[in-house]
Amino acid sequence: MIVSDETGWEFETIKRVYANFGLDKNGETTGVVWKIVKQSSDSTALRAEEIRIEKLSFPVEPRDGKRFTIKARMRYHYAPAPQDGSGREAEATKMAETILTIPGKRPS
Amino acid sequence: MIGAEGVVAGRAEQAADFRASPLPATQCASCHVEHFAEWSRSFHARSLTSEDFLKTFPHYLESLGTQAREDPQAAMGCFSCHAPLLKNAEPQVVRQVTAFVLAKEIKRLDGFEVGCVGCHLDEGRVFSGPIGNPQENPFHASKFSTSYKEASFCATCHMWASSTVPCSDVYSDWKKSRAAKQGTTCQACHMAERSGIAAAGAPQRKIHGHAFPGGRSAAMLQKAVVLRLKAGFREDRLEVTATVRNLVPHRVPDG
Repeated sequence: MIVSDETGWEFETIKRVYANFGLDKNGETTGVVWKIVKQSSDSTALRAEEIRIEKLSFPVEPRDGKRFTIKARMRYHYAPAPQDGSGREAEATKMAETILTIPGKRPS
Repeated sequence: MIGAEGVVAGRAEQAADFRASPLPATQCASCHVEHFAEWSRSFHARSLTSEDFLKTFPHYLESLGTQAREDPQAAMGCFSCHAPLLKNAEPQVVRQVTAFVLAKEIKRLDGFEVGCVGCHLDEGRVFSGPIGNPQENPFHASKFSTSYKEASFCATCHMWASSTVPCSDVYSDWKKSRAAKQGTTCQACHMAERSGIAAAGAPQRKIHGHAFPGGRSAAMLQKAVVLRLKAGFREDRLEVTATVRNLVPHRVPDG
């Protein structure tokens, strides 16, 4: 989720990861399919028909902008991001996107 | 000394003999044109050759120990779903297919994937399906079965089927869902109904998609969740509430 002002300046991005984890035979959390023997309580995947509420707080005050745009984007990643220090993200497909605009109080 | 390539080549003949007997999907294609074309694009058609499977299978065998590569039972932990025809195969054929997968001999795996026979071959050369009054034809006998309309049909593979390799639990999730109570099956979403021809020369009727779209389909992913936002200032912070609603009767992501 990204919050920006009327100029396009981005204040902050907050991410949430919904990932499917399991437990191996020793009870350790694993994302590795052939080791999973049961569902882990650490799994952050959305459960069947779940409604999940995320409360996010941004260090942004009304006087920081005339208008704020909050953009939430949900993407499906097929693999974890490469651990090569490049900062690149793995291949993903868009699932949902929504935008909300609220007024600010920055003087002209 | 024979290298890995020599071993694989030497085994190719036996595997080809086995493959010729239980009908690879390509043999069904001349009559079942639409279904074959859809299936060819599906992950069922790539059950043995997808990048993920080729990567995961050797790791799985390694995790079982040094003898696992030569143990047909170990490989069948994966093959019982990923190559269902092998359930009736001799141990040496299972070893051959194991060698092909490990050597990434993709062309030699043709015909062993989750094909038409895996789901539709009943007994002998009788093929069953969800069509109530199947057209007679000179190639095989056809039989109606209600099981194709039930979610439990998919459970054979799409749940924690084996005590050693439980890699999918979609069916168990679905069973507890509101969708299950309402009678919405796996097929309703993953095998959409439409009007069409099941086989060459057959009448127009309701048929079902065989591309099995899922997590790799942008259209399916975009139907899976709804995202809503509410926001307001509280003291010196912007507080945002995001509501993420999973519309599907299994976990997202799953598998």
